Amino acid sequence: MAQLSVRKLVVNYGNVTAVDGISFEAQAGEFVSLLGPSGCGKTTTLRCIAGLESASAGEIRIADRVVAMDGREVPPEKRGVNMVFQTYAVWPHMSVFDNVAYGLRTHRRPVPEVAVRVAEALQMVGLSGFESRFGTELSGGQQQRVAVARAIVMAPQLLLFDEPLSNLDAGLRERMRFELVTLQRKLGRTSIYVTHDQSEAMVMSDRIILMNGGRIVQQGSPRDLYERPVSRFAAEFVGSANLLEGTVVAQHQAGYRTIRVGDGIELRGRPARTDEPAAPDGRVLVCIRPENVQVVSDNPDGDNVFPARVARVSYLGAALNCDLSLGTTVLRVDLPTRSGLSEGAEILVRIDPDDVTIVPDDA
Amino acid sequence: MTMRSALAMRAPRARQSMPQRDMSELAGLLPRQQLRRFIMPVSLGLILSLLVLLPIFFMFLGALRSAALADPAGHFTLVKLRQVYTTLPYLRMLGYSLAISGGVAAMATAIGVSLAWLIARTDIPAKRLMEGAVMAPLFLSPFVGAIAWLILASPRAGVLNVIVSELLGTRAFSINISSPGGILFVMTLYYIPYAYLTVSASLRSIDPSFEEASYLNGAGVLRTALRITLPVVRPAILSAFFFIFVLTIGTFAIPAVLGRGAHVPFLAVDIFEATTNYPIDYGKSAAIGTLVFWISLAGVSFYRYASKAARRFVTVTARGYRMRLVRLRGARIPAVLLVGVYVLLAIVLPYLALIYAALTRFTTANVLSAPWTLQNMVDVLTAPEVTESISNTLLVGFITPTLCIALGVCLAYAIRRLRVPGGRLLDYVAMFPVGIPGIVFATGIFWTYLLTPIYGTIGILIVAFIAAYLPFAYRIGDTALLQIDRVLEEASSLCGASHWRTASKVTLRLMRPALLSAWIMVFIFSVREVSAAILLTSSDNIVLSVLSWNYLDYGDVQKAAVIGLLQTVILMIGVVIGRFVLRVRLSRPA
Repeated sequence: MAQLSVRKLVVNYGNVTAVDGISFEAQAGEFVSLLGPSGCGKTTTLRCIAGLESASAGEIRIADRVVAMDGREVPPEKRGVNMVFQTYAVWPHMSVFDNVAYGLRTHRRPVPEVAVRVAEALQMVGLSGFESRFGTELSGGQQQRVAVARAIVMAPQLLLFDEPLSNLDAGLRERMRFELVTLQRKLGRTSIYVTHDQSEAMVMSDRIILMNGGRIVQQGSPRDLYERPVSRFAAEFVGSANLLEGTVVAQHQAGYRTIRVGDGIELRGRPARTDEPAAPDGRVLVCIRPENVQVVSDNPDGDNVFPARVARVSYLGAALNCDLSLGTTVLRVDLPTRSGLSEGAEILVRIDPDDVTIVPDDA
Repeated sequence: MTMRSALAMRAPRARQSMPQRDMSELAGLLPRQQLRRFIMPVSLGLILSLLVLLPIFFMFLGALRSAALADPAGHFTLVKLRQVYTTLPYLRMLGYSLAISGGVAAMATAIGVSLAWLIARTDIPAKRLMEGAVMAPLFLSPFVGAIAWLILASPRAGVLNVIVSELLGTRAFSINISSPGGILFVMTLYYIPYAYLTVSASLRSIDPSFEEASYLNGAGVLRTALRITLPVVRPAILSAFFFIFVLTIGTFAIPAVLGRGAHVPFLAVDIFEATTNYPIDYGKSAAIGTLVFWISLAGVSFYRYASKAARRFVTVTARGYRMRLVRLRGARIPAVLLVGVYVLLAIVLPYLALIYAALTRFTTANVLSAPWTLQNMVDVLTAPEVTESISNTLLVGFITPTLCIALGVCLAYAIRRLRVPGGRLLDYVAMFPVGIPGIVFATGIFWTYLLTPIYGTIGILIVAFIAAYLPFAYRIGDTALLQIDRVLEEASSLCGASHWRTASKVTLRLMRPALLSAWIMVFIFSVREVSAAILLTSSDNIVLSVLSWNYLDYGDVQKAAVIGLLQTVILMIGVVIGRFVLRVRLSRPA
């Protein structure tokens, strides 16, 4: 039984379609991210699940109970879900304790139970001892933790996160990512997490739903999305990628194909999806991740070995980020720092055919 | 929320696709929502019609009647309107009223802008004190100020005139406050704070780099102020001008007090005179009311246009910018003196005069050597009509703001949060009284409630005051609501709180500071209001301001002064409780 099921959800604002008929499910205990650029409909989808926004059409079920269908809906307070907001929404006129206790008191839980459950929730987020502070006396990270405690204290059927880390500074954001994931694993609550930060989605999610223009582009595990993007958008949005336009010139066993790109370079690779229908004119995109290009010594065997000239080198500490010219084709690659390349060097590079992903050219 | 309202208005479709089990859970939701969406706007609309639209309608109707509406001999006629709109005495009065109002608006704006620039943009010392001093007259009664200036500078017995003639041995330098110039002067004094508030808000919000760029281009302080700063806040200056113009044209108290002896014609005064002087003519009073109504409407349109433009210029600058202040150097002392002179003229001298008149046996014969006495105090404070009017004033002062703020918040919540259908119309009607002077409104209220039991009770005052101050209460409620991030309410819903619980535990709690300050302001307005009260007064609902007017009318300046002081004490208690007990920030313009 899916904990959350969204079917053919449509949201229109006047003439604008923010969400265009998307369907997905989340299993119990799963951590699912809605990832996409701003305006892709991810936040609108999340707010529809929460009941804060009305669906124009479609159906939403939470724990197999219909909460929205054909414009009728269960109001947010009766859905048994809770949300961590981007701006935290910690009530400034209440103490930390009152903030977290709010939902329990709303449901008229007995005083001793409220005290115990609030203490548990605060301990869980590492805010024990802050009970009597007010929202305005807390740092951004602490407000974030209050918001999380307030969301988990009610043991909701769904935990919703609306870009909760985007207002934190970089260091804290990294730390909170891991804390949130650890907490979610410990609680085992089904979580839907909205973000525009692909690295955040990669680190945290069991499954990523990539959205663009109100539709789902691709969904799958982080590895799936990174290694086998289904379109130019998916390849560009998740991680960085060299995308080269080319044409299929030969087909081989086990799905490998030879693609000609640029001024005659022939690359061997394979499609992201085995069931991919080839475009009639054979035009495709080739996706090569920067870390998948290796420098090799003279005279190696195998496919995809090319001479290259180092056109630019930037020192990044962990790696050297270089532009390599393969004839007229330029690849941006990450090479080990110890390779010690300098601009103008002539080298040989090899790209494993399994790392050359063929993507349909949809643009 | 636009979405939700758009959807809720749409008929539900495709019932057959919904399984029976789910129906029960979803079905109950729609009718209740529709009920709220129907009942809220309709009931608010009814209240607004009773409070705002009906009185205006009846004023226009009254202007067309030969006698009171209930009078069987009355019939419809255009005589009154023709008289008021086309005959010479009224056109002359119109000219005077426009000239005085225009003059007051121009002078108060010019001085208010200078003071705003000094306090917002220069290193004038003790800024907070200076600002407090300039704003203080806002919390006092202009009517009481007019009585005080009558004591200070009436042509024969004015305390200042007597002092000057004693000192110089000549009456050549006598000031006559009972003149068009005197009216202009006293009104300007009490309307400067409105210009100050409007323009200083704007001055503080412009991007400091506009001025910095001017300095870097070689312009000096004066050139930068005149060529850059003032043009940028020009829309705010214009909106201050029209705001004060509308306030002035509808002001009854000051021209009535100061113009009485001198027969300075003023429309707002004549509205009242037509209902009290023989031959009493309610129709004519309503007809003059319609004339003032049109002028105010024009003024308010200009004001709205200007303040819309003013908002366009407001820039939100990054925090942490420190405004570069102009160094006054040697001009610091003159600048402080300027503020000092203003405080002297608007507060110190008037209250000294009131206290002097209240505590002496003051007659025209012994202006400077009047014997001290507590007799006036005792006489006034023991008079039964005074104790009754104190309790009436307090009752009106407590009920009016309470109901007015409650209505304003309901309107703001329904229009902005629930987005009820017809919200724009409600918004327009609620803001409508902003341009209608109290005395014009009172004319309509008078015609509307003449035959109802509410006439002659303090109830009718409360109705008139609520309508007059509704725009203020509504606007503050709306602004407060606008500043509350919706997310705070959504978080409450997701914690399982119902609509009402969210409203009471989160929304209203967060609005509380703004609402308290609005309450205190409406309390002050209600306690000092003269013009709306004076037309609706009777022996049962007399309030302090009207009593003070009556004493003055009988020629008893001392008793009027004592009542004025008493009223000021009530106002001060209100301000002190608000400021120091409830910790309200009282810096919102009216």
